[in-house]
Amino acid sequence: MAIYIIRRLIQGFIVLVLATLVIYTILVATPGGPRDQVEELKQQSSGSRKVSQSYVESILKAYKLDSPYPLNYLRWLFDPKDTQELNEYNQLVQKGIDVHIGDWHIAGSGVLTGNFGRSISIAKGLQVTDMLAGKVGNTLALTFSALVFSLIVAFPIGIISAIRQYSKIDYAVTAFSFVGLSMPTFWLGLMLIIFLAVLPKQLSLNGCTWCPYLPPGATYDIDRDNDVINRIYHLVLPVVVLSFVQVASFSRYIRSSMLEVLRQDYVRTAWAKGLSQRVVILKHALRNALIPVITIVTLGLPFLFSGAIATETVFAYSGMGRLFVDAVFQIDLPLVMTFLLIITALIILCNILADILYAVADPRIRFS
Amino acid sequence: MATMAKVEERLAPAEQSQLSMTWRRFRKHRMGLIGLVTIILLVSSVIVIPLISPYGYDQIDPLALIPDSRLPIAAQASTFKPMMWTSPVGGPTHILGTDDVGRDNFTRLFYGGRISLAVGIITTLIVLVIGSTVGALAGFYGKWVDTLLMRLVDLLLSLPELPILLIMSKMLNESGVMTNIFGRALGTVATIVLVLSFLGWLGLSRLVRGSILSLRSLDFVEASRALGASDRRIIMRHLMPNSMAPIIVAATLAVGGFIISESFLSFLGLGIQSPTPSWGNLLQGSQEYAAFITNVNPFEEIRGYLILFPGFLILLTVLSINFIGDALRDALDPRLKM
Repeated sequence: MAIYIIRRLIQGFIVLVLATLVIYTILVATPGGPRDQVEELKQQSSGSRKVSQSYVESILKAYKLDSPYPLNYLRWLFDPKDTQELNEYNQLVQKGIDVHIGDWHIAGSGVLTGNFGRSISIAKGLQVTDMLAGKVGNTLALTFSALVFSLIVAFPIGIISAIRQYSKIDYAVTAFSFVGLSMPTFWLGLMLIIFLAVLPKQLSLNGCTWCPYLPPGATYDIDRDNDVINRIYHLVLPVVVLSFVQVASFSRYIRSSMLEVLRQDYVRTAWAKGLSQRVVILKHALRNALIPVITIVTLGLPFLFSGAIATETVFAYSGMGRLFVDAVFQIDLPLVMTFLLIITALIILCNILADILYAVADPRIRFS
Repeated sequence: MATMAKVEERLAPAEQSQLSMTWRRFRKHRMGLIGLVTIILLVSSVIVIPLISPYGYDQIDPLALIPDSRLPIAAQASTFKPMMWTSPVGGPTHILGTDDVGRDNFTRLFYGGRISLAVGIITTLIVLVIGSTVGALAGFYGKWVDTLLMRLVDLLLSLPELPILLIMSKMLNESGVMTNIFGRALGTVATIVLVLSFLGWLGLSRLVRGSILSLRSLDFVEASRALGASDRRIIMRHLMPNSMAPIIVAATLAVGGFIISESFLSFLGLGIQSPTPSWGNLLQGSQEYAAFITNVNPFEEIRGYLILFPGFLILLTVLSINFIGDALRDALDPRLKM
C-alpha cells in the first residue's frame, strides 16, 4: 500500500509538471496574453503617452519572455540568474534559494523553488502567494460549510428515495435534482438576494418587523464585531446557493448507489435473518453504498474552490474565487497562474486520494 | 397463392425502423416529451422574433429617451421604461419595457436566446467532431496512439475548466483577434465558442474510445475487414453508427452545460459583449439593479423582472434539455428493449 501511494504521488508530480507546461503555454500563447500586452505598451510609450519602462520589464521578467519558447518555460520553472526582485515598496530584495552543498553553489528562483511571482496590476508588488493565502480562510469557511451542509441534507434524501423507489417522494427528489443540475448558480444567487435580502429590507422599512432579512454580500458587517455569529449570518445565502447544486448531485448518486446495493444478495440475507429495517438499511446497505459516494465527494473537493467562483462573485464574498475573478479582469497573470496551479495540484491530489480512500473503504480492492 | 402471400404479409410483424422504435419509447417518457415541446417552442420563438418584433435587437427607440410624465416622478426621466409601456405619441408597445439605453427588452430577450442556443448547439457540434475523431482514433488503433491521446486527455482533464475559460476569453476579447476576423457583432460569439470547445471535447472522446474499444473485436468488424474494408470505412460505417446511442445522449446533455457556462461568462462581462445580447449578458449588472429596487414589489419596480426572465429562460432551456437527454437515454438503451 505504501509503495502504491508513493508511486501514485510520483506519477502525480509528473502530471503536475506537465500541467504547468500546458497552463504556461495557454496563458503565454493565447492572443491578448503578456506578449501582446508588452507589444501594446511599447507602441503606447513610443507615442505621446509614456508607459513606465519598469512595468514592461516586470511583465517580461515575470514570464521570461526575452527567451524563445521552450527555454522561457524552463526559466520560469527555475532560473539560476534571477535572484533579486522589487517588493511592494520598490526595494530590491533577495528571492529564491541560495545554498552551498560542498563545492556546489546553487542560487536562483522560479516556480519550482516556490517563487510564484508578484502581482502586476491588482496590488502591484505583493507576493501572489500571500494574497491568495489571505483569502483561503474565507473560501474554506464557505466551501466546507456548504459541503457539510449538503452532505447532511443529501444523505436522508437519497436514502429515502432509494427505499421508496417510484413513490411520490422519489419523483419529487428526482425533479428537484433535475432543477438543481440545470440551475445557473449565479442566477439563483441573484434571486435569493432579491427575495431574502432586498425585499425584506424594504418591507422592514415599511414596518414589517419580523421579515427574515439576510445580508446579500460581503463576509461580515463592518460596523459590528467580526465575530462568529456575524460571519455565519453572512454565510447563509452563499452556502445555500453552493449547496443547492451539490445536494442535487449527491442525492442522485446516493440514491442510485443505494438502489444498486439494495438488490444484492447479502441485503436479502439480512432481511431474511429478521433484522430490523434500521439495521438493514444503515448497517448492511448504507455502508456498502458509501463506497462510490466517497469517490464522488473526494473528486468534487477541488471543484468546491472553482465552483465557488460564481457564488463568491455574486455575493461579493471576499475569497479566493473572487480574487481570481478580479485578477482575470485586470489580467494579473502571476495571480491567475498561481491560482490555476493550486487548483490543478488539488485536482491531481484528490484523484490520488479518491483511489486510496476507495481501497480503504472497500477491503475487496487490493493494489498490486 | 396470391391470397396466401397476402395472409403471410399480414401475419408478419410490421417492419419497424430504428427511428420509429426509439420515438415510441421516447414518447413514454412524459417529462422528456414536455422538454421536447418546450425546446421546440423556444427555438421557434427565437427564430421568428425578427418577424414579430417591430424593433431591432440593437435599435434604440428614440421615444423611450423622452421623459414620460405619466410615470411616477422618480422614473420619468429614466430610459428604463416599465412593462407594457407605449410612448404617449403612439408607436408599438414595449412588452417588457426598455433597457438602460432605450432598447426593447422583449426583442433583446429573444435575440439573446438565439445567441445562447446557437452557442450551445454550435459548440456541441464542434466538440462532437473533435471528441469523436480523437476517441475513434485512440480506440481503433490502440497501442501508442491510444496511450498518447488518452494521456493527453487525462492531462487536460486535470486542469480546472472554469477558471481557464475565464482567463482565455478575457485575453481573447482583449486582443480583438476574433473581432477582426468575424466582425463586431459575432466576434465575441466566436470567441466563446472557441474557448468552450477548447476543453469541452475531453469527456466525449473518452466515451467514444470506450465504445469503439468494446466493438472493435466483435465478429461483424472482423467480417468487414475480411471483405477488404478500409480502416476509414470500418470506423465510419460500422463502429461509429453502433456507438451512436451514448454519444447522442452525452451531446444532448452537453448543450445545456455549454449554455450555462456561456451565461456565466457573459454575466461577468467576459463572454458575449453588448450590443449583441445573450441570456447571460442581459443579467450583467443585475446586482446593481437589485440594489436600486426601492419599491416593496420589485416586479412593479422597473428593473426587477430584468433579472427574472433571462435566468428563468436559461433554467427552462437547460432543464428541458436534461429531460430530453434522460428520455433519450431510456429510449436508446438497447438493454431496455426486452
